[in-house]
Amino acid sequence: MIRYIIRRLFLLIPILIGTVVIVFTINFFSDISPARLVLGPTATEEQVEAKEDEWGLNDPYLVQLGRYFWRIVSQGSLGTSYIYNQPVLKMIMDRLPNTLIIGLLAATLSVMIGIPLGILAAIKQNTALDYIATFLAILCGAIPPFVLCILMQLVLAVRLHWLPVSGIRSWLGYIMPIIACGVMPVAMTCRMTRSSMLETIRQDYIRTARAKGLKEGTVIWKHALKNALIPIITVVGMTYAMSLCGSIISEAIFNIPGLGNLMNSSISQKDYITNLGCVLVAAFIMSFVTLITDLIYAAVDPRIKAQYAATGKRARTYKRKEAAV
Amino acid sequence: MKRWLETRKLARKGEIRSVGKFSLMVRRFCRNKAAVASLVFILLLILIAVFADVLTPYDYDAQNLSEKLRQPSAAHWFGTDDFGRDILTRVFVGTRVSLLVSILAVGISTVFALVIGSIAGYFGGAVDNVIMRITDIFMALPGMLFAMTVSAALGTGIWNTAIALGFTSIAPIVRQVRASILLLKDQEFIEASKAFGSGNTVIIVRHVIPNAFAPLIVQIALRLGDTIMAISGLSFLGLGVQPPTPEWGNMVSVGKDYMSEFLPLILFPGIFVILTMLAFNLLGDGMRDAMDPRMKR
Repeated sequence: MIRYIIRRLFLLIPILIGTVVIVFTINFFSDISPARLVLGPTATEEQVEAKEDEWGLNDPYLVQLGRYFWRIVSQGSLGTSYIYNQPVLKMIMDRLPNTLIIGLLAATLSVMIGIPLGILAAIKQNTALDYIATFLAILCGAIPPFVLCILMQLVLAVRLHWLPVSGIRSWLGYIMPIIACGVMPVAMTCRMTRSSMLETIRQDYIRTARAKGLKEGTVIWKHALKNALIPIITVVGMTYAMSLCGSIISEAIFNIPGLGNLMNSSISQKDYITNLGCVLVAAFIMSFVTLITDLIYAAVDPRIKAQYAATGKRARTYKRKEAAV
Repeated sequence: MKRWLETRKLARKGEIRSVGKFSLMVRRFCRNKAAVASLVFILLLILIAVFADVLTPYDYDAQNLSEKLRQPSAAHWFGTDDFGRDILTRVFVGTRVSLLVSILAVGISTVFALVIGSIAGYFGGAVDNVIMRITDIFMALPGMLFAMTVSAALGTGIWNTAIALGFTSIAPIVRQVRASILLLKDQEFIEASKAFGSGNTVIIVRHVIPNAFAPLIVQIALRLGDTIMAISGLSFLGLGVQPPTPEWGNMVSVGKDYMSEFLPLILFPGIFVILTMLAFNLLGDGMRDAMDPRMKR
């Protein structure tokens, strides 16, 4: 198992390298110079050129890319922001906690609504309850986050004065962003729970469990749900991954200093190096959550655990064979 | 053989009709009222998009500053915006923009994904390995962040937004195409085609892609909805489609500044996004149930 985790952690490296290469390439071919934006419209062509030289923006593609990687490896630095003149990593780390708090709670909220709704819809399949639950879930997924954010802001903050309009000076400020980020994934969670439960409920062992005379509750919770969990965990993992990367729209509307907001401002100000750092950190979070999801599979399903363990063993036999040759 | 001839004779006379897989699917689909209603709504949206210019007496770009921010009335059913432009007309033209961009984006990603996924699934081995590892990298990139980065690099506008959204959603479709190709690859008709001496290109284009396309249709319906949401999100943030071209997201973005006194600019485009998303989702679900009836009952 530990071998499996270590192997997976090593597999993260090519993914992160790939991320840097892709995003770096996209930004490299963008034609607006951040130097021009920093120096303003009055700056001469020479001043812009000098600034670009200072940042190394006029070097060839491979030199710039190589320098970026070298900085990460040798100094653990993601570079210095063109606009704020601060280390990118520090800027991200300052903002990450806000995003993580909101993301974690929002994903938890959506899971706590989505899974029970999905189970209910599956148990009461083709009844009014099923239709209502399914429709509610689809509706949750259909409301665009910016509309939801603005309407909440209007009703709860501007009209009723229950919550602050924006910012997170007190814990009250977190409520609306959490709801805004938590509503949309309900659709996916509920849908996946419903279809996975439906598939499981039709299995022979569920009929056996019922025939044994077990209580319906035991059948659903102990036999059906446990076996339906794998696809549900996949979706829950995706929900957490997406939420933890920050919701750009709700962070922008509620003016929350988080990863999404930094990303947004770095894009509008052509601060490519900050943008690259943000995407890299987000990709790392995504991959890390995927890894945790895969580990939870093993905890839930002994068959998968056996598989993971086998990989390690197979790897060992393979090595032995190679040594023999 | 005799029975087969008799059956064929009857079928020619029109006394019996064969029920194909497709007509069964259509029948199952028609039984799903929500899906049919969604289809009707989407057709309506397409009509609105096509005839956006002639449906209302106003021009989407005609400013009338003396009539700005008017509440809905008989003359302006949805009211007027901050430049006195008719909101109904702008929502209709916005429908055209949203549908156009999302169809372009989904088209781009589907075509590329079909080709790349087919190659990966059909050839297998090292080619498959390389393509799938690259796909893994794209899958690790958070969708919205990536779309924003590409959109910012390409610039705004209808085509660039379509390319940005299409490019960023290739990877998940590649995976799906590859999975269905892997199932197809070992079936008899592919082998038969090989036995006839068809080359790889012919097999992929004539046999593999058409057969992999059917399960993709559901995915395409769902993606169209998601893409419309993404377009409006990008446009709301000032990327994507920019004013003066009306788009639901950028209309709401303007409406945000007037939210405490003037709601129509948020409400009506918002309702259109919600209804469109609902329609595409219910349509996708209906199509999936019709194709794979095991799930339904």
